[in-house]
Amino acid sequence: MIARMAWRNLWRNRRRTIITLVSIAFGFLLAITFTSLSDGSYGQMIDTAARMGTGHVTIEPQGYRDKPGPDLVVRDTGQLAQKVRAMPGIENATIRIVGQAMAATSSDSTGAGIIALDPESEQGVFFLLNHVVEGQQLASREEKKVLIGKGMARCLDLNLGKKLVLTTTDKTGEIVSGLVRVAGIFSTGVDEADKYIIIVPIDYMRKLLGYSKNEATQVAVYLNDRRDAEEKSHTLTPLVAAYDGTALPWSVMMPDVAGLILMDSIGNYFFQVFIFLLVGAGILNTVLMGVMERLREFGIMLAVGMSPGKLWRMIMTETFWLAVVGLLVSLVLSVPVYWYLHKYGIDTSAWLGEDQVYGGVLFDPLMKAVFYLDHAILIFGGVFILILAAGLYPAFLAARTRPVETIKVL
Amino acid sequence: MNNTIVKMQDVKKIYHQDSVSEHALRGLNLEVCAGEFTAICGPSGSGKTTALNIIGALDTPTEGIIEVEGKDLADLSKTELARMRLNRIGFIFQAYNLIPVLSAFENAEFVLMLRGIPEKERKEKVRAMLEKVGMADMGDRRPDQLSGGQQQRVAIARAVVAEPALVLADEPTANVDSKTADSLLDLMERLNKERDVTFLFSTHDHRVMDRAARVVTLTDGTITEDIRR
Repeated sequence: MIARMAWRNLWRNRRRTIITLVSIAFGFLLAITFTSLSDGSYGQMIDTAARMGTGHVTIEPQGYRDKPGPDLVVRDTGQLAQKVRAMPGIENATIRIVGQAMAATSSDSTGAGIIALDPESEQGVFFLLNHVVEGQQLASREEKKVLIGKGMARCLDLNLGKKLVLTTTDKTGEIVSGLVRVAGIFSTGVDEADKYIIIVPIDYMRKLLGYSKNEATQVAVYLNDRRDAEEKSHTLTPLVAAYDGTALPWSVMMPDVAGLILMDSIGNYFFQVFIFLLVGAGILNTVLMGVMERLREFGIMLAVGMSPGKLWRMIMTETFWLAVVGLLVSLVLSVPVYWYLHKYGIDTSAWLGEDQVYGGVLFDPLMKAVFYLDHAILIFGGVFILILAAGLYPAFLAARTRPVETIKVL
Repeated sequence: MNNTIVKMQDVKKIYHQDSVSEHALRGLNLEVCAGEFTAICGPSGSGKTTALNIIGALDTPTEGIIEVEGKDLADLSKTELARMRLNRIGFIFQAYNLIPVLSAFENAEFVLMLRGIPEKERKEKVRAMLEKVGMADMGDRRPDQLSGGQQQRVAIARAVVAEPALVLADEPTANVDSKTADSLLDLMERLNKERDVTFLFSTHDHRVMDRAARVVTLTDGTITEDIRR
């Protein structure tokens, strides 16, 4: 009967209850929308950064972080990559050699970042290969052809098929040079990448640097779920140690991106806390008003023998019903909004332009909502607990009612 | 009758408001025996309501001893007092005070539910009691769908259905017309006789005083007359 009474009490002031439910649903919707859009954007940003660079988890030579150089390599990378690919949750693992070089033409020169890779296994994996706008992709691991960015082409006045000399130091510290031709030009929209990066076939680079067939400076590991990066890097550590390597998550490899996401998350978090406090205050007000205007009734209930504990439970049951109905209304309201944002997203290009670069990472102007179960549970549980917490004080007040004061006359 | 159900010994109640002290009861001595049909009357401010509040354990005296069924209320904890009200005392209020979200049937059932009586048993009891108070066919109506007299009948059913030792009734006929008042008094008189329920009224109503077997008159917090018929 307590549950029935509580349910009926919830609907005694229908308009007030509906307004409260709408405020709960609105708070929930805001939380869902902001969280899912943030998760979608962060995910897209991290994936782009991972595919532009060094994967969700990067395997690199031990000590490379502190003193990078061509003398540090990971051994037997072919075998290592094969073992990594066989592990659960791994989408792909590709082998690369990264380093710096001087890129020179007959008339000009510039500093360049070398990414040497296997064109075949990197297709569809490495972001830059998808942005070749002129010429063609690299055809083999050995040919003396490279891809350069549009910015570098402009800077060095290079066209397709033109010659370029790469000068760097080999494994032993000797200066070495190689002549290559431009096979294709890529354009990512990220100035830093377009002006600086040269993509080179991996076996050609091995020869130039004096590496053996399976030596490399990096294995980029791509995960099915980017959020597993920390865990996977720990899991990989003992395996890669046998190959003189170490496994690092993207957040260590790309601290700028990680910092940007962290700052944005903190801002988002405070915004949501603020919204929840507002919603909580609204719920507290509703429940409190509902209690204050029924003190006489509570006095009667206590007078006829209801215990204060039971009265407390009744008010908390009312709050429980409010939470249940509030969350149901919230779901009804939020699911279509989420579905729309997940499927169609919000195109921000009209306000922010096509090429948005944050922390050196290209950001898709189409923001799509992505929701993770743990975040859904957190918001769902958070709203539920918030509503119940808002009922605690009114329930306490009701239980402390003194019948003789509220009934006035017996 | 020698089975005392209520015993008040030199009970005083002083209300303090700001710096003013108001003596509601000035050393009240009263004994009510089981099965009595007693009316406490007196002008407004004479202490009738205060006396009933104290007997019903809704308020505490400033001084004096109050015993219900031989138990000194001062010795009981809040929980024990709530339990005593639930199990031994029925209340009828002037303004009916039914719970608005419950039907007439559920209002009458409420106290039995609080007592933890099994559903089947309490439904049978409520059905029989509503029959007795003439509300059998209106059990599913909410209080706002009932007249004042009908609400008071339900309130009487609620007070009596759990078979308390004592029913405290504050001006039970004050808000109803004379015909309804008479039928309510008939009902309470019948319950008093058939079920041996002790009724203690506070009232201004001469019809109640005429029906009461005992009339206690309070003036300025003291008993000035106590007539048994």
